[in-house]
Amino acid sequence: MSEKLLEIKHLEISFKTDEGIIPTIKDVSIHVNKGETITVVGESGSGKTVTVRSILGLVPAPPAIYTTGEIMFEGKDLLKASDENWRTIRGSEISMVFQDPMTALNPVFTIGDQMANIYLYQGKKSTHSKLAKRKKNLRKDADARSLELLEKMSLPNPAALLKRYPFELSGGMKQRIIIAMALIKTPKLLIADEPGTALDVTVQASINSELKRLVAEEGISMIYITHNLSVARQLGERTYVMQYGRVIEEGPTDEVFLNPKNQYTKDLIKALPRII
Amino acid sequence: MQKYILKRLLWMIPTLVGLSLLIFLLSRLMPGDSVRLAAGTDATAEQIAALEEKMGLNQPLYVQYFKYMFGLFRGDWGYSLRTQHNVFTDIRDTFAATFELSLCSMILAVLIGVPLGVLAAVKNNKFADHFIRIFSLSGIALPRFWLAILFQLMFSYVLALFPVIGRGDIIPRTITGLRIVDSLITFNFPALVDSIKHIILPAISLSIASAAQIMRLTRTSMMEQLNKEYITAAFSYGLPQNLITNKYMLKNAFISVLTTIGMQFGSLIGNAFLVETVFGWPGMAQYSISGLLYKDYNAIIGVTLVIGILFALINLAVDLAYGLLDPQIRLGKEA
Amino acid sequence: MSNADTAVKSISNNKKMLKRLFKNKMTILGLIIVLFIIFCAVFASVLAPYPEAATGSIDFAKMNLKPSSTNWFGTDEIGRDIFSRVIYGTRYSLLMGVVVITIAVVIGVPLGLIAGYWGGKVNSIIMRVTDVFLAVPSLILAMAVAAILKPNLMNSMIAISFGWWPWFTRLVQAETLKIKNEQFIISSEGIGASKWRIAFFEILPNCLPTIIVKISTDIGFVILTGASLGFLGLGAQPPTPEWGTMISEGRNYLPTVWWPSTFPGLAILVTVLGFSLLGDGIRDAFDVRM
Repeated sequence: MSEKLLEIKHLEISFKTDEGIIPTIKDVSIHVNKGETITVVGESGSGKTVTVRSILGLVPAPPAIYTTGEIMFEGKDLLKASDENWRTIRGSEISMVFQDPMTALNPVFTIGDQMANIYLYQGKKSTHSKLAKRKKNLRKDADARSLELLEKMSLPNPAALLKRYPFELSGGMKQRIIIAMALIKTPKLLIADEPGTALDVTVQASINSELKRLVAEEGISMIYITHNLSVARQLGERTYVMQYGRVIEEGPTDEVFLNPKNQYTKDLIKALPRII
Repeated sequence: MQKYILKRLLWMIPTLVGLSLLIFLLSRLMPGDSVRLAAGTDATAEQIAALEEKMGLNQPLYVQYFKYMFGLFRGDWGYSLRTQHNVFTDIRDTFAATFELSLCSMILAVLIGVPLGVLAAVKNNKFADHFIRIFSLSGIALPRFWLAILFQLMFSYVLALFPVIGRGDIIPRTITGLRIVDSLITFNFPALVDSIKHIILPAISLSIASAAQIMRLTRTSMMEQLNKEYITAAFSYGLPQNLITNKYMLKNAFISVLTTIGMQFGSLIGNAFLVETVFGWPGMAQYSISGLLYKDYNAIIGVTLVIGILFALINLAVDLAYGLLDPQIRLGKEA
Repeated sequence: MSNADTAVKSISNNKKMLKRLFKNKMTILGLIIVLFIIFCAVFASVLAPYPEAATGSIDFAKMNLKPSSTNWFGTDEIGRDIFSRVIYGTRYSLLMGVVVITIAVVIGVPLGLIAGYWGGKVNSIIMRVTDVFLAVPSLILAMAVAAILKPNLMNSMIAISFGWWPWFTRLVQAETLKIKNEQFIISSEGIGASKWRIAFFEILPNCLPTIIVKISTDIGFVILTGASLGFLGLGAQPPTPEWGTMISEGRNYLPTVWWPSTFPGLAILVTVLGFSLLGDGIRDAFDVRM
């Protein structure tokens, strides 16, 4: 029997703007089972990013107002998590892969530094811990782990890569690095927010297949967000379709594709280019 | 990178030449009785004429200009009507004092402004916003010379904590001309203490406005960083707050602040002249201000050029520092 | 985008901006201060308890009196009421702010427009010239120029303008570069409108927000610079009650007689703060990134 790893229950979020309080996410319920990959499909503005960022508490509130709902992870409601809880969970239990490789990496630090920092400092309250003295050796371990992941992502010459700065690398390489960074501590749940949409279709396709392979190997559950239905079909066992802040269709991916119940879903499927 | 520095140095030259031309023309074209002033009220027409001859004021303008420019390179910066020395020696004797004061103030401004800005960035509510805005704008609006007078009044006269005027009586051996540096190098601690005691009030009164400006900019830049995707990503990795704030955000924010430090230094140098006046600081201020009132043109031109050169070099140094922080500039961005 | 569309858009933009402007309490404080200063300047002769103090009355009997109920800011070394002089001083500061900014705008903005729009050699020449004027800090340049000319109020204003106009040129040139590639400019060029017409009637209006923001944030600093020159004796000469000059005069009597130097400085602080708050608010309302 598949066990629920993460469950978003009846989530409702409003945003405070100059024009008043606007309800944005309306009664959204999504769950992920252990070892499962689900996809969340929707256009820009459908609310998929806000929903998914809420899982990691990355939506600034204010201006967001969480009116009702829970996000249950391992028996706890993430919406009530403290700063300390977050530090432990983020990067280690739940990780996120960001969408735009051009902006998701810090431009003034090397890849090696950014990756090592996750290994060394994830979950810690401050950088001044007892490991200051043993730092040198620990950095070696950190780099070893970084190299391991870069190789898994099929990146060429990983050792040299550690010394590079983000601007020296191509979009595809950066996206793979971002994925690697999310996997450093082998999280239970990976949230992939449209990775590679900013890149060429072929690059994106190869990244997606690597991602699929990796999470399967490590037994990681994944929530994959996309606006591209055909990508959803390849990746997810179950699919949720979102529109205007609601989940308007859900079910096993094949079901959704073959028997769409909602008109919007039908339109999305119709809009797919057909290869004859 | 070296190409960049070279290019900048080359650009300096026409700009400074243009500046020298501007000031030179202004000084020679304005009707001025400076020669008469210098010669004295009861000088005869012949004496005045002789002085004019000595100053080369009878020759056509362009000849005067070229003579002056050539003289610059030989160390002959013209004859100062007031001190009767070569302007070059006058400036040389006073430059270090002004430079030390300006440099100290700039360092203080950064050391005060940046941490305050980082702290202020964390507080993001309406009340803090208002308070910080008034606080920093007041700092920027403070007339530095007035602040200098107030400090002098309070701490030197009333509380007698610091000396009223001057740069110090215990003088270390001159190596760089910067007394604090020289005292440290020669392990001359009495001189060090004396120099610091004398520089503290002028430096602080000079630095407050810049510190406030820097605090504002740091805060704005830091808050902009909060919106950056790579910072959200850093949070998503569960990294500690101090790493994110003090390294990930600050390094990026400081680059924006750095661009204005060059200009800050400019207003600092200008205001240094005012503060020097209040505290009797033996820098270029005293020299040039007396020169201004005497219409000692060579002195005016000399000081202006020196400051022009200093300013250009400071801006260059700032750009180099830029390169240190931002790898894209250092390693040469590929399109 | 036709001219009518732009007009409609700008009206609704203006409404939004005004709303944002008045939302901020600090901006309102700045506005109050500025209006107060203007009020003092206009009605100085009525507000000052001893108007003759501004023009050089001498009353040795009332020399160096401490601040009291008859003389709120005390008197100076020749018996003049400092409070009255400070009130009159608003006139000179405001005058300086207005005149210098006007000169700087009149010279700097057209040059920036021309440099940005015509480009090429013209641009290079104009920008090189601005580089020369910006090669030294503006206070230093103002001091040098003020010294070469005869020190008085008018000349100090000219001197400060020397160092101020280049900033407007740089600003407008950068804005023009951004705007000149926009669609509506290209279509005007296509119709065959003359370059001058396009520059002044199409590009310039779009630069106005940034120019206005700069003007409002700069007035305070012009006043500060003017007072600095006055302090050095390069501005208005005694007995003119200009604040910087007053502070300098008062220095001779420190530390016991502290009020002649203190209160004018306070006036400078408040005035510059007021303009800065207002300018800040205007910048936020326009939401302009400079």
